[in-house]
Order: sequence, then C-alpha cells, then structure tokens
Amino acid sequence: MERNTAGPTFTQTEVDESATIVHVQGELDIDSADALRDALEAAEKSVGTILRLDASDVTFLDSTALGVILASAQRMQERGARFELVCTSPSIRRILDMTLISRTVHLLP
Amino acid sequence: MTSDSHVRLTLPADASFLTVCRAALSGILADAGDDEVEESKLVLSEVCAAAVAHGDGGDLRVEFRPTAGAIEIVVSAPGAETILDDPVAREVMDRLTSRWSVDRDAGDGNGSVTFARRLR
Repeated sequence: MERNTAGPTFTQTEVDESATIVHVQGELDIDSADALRDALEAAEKSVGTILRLDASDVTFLDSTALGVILASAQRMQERGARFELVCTSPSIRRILDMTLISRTVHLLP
Repeated sequence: MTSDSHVRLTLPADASFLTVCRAALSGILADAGDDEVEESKLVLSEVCAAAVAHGDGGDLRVEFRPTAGAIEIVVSAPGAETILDDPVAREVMDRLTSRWSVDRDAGDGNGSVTFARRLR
C-alpha cells in the first residue's frame, strides 16, 4: 500500500552555459530519494561546471537523501565540476555538519 | 506521566508513511523547541526507514513514550532486524539520542529499535 501524497517538487534552471540550478521544495527522505536522484541525474546531463542544488525550501532531509546528494556531487567532482548545496535551515545545516559532506559538496551560504 | 500518555501508531511498512510518523512526533513534541523537534524527527525517520527496508512488508509499529523531560520511542516491524547499517544513520543515532538499542522479541522474532532523547 502506498499513500498518494505530494512529494517534493523540483525546478531546473539554466543560469548560463556553466551553471545549472535545481531548486527543490518539500521533504527529502527515503520515499523521495528516487525523485531526487532523477532530478539530479537530469541536471548533470546539461550542466557545465557548476550544479547547484537549492535546498533552501527543504523542510526535512534524511541520510538516504544525503547519500543521493553525495553520489551526484562525487560524479560532478570526477568530471572536474563543482556541486553546490544551498541550505538555509539551521537544523538541516547542523545535520550536514555532522557528516563529512562538506569535503565533496560546497555548502552555501 | 502515566502510560496513558503513550501514543501508539500502527501503519503500513511503506516509506510513503514516514511523513505520518514525523507529523505525529511533531504533535507530541508541540511544546518543544524547533531544533528539538527537527532532530527528533530525523532520528525517528532513520529508524523507521531501516525498519521499512528490513521488514517483510507487515505493519510498522511506533510507540511514543513521553516522560518529564524526555521521550522514548520504540519502532518495530515484522521480520525486521531493523539493523541500522547505514553509517550516516548510525552517526545520527549516536549523536542525537541519549541511548539507543536494537532488540529482537524472543516470542515473535520481530526486531525493534528503542531510543530516547532528553528534551531541552
């Protein structure tokens, strides 16, 4: 049985030839991890040198979503590109700081 | 507080219901600070995700036991050893709980995770 709930929404914007922004709104957990992976993989195809995941409207983030973000960041790093994560929620930021994600992901602001 | 204040949730062991678990916890911790609620939601979500992943598809059971200045939560699922094998999830448990343990019921063999947090 599955609940028919609205998952997070993703909006991809090409800033210029080099940068692509994926804005996500909602909760990122094990249930929405596939949608997050799809959104990031789609963005990776068109990205130049910077992929920015704007998570300033994310209200919840779990370890599965974190793993998806890290995998995308590692793929970008292998291509010599930069993965940026915008996170303004103090509670989510603390969770990010607990991990070593900042070694691979550039945290903004 | 007595056991009357315990809240028990039984839901399908499906990841799409984790948002319900988190919403329930937000309600139970309505008097706690935002940081307290958010960190507690993360811990609960990690445990429930592990229970769903390792379970056999039966019901997920969550019992909330608020006491003065703390909350204890027990999560169980049939067939689940509910082993938290993800290193980030374990880090979350170690850092954000005052204690946590994985147990197996000798009778029905169901696995459970019990954890507690002191509330600031």
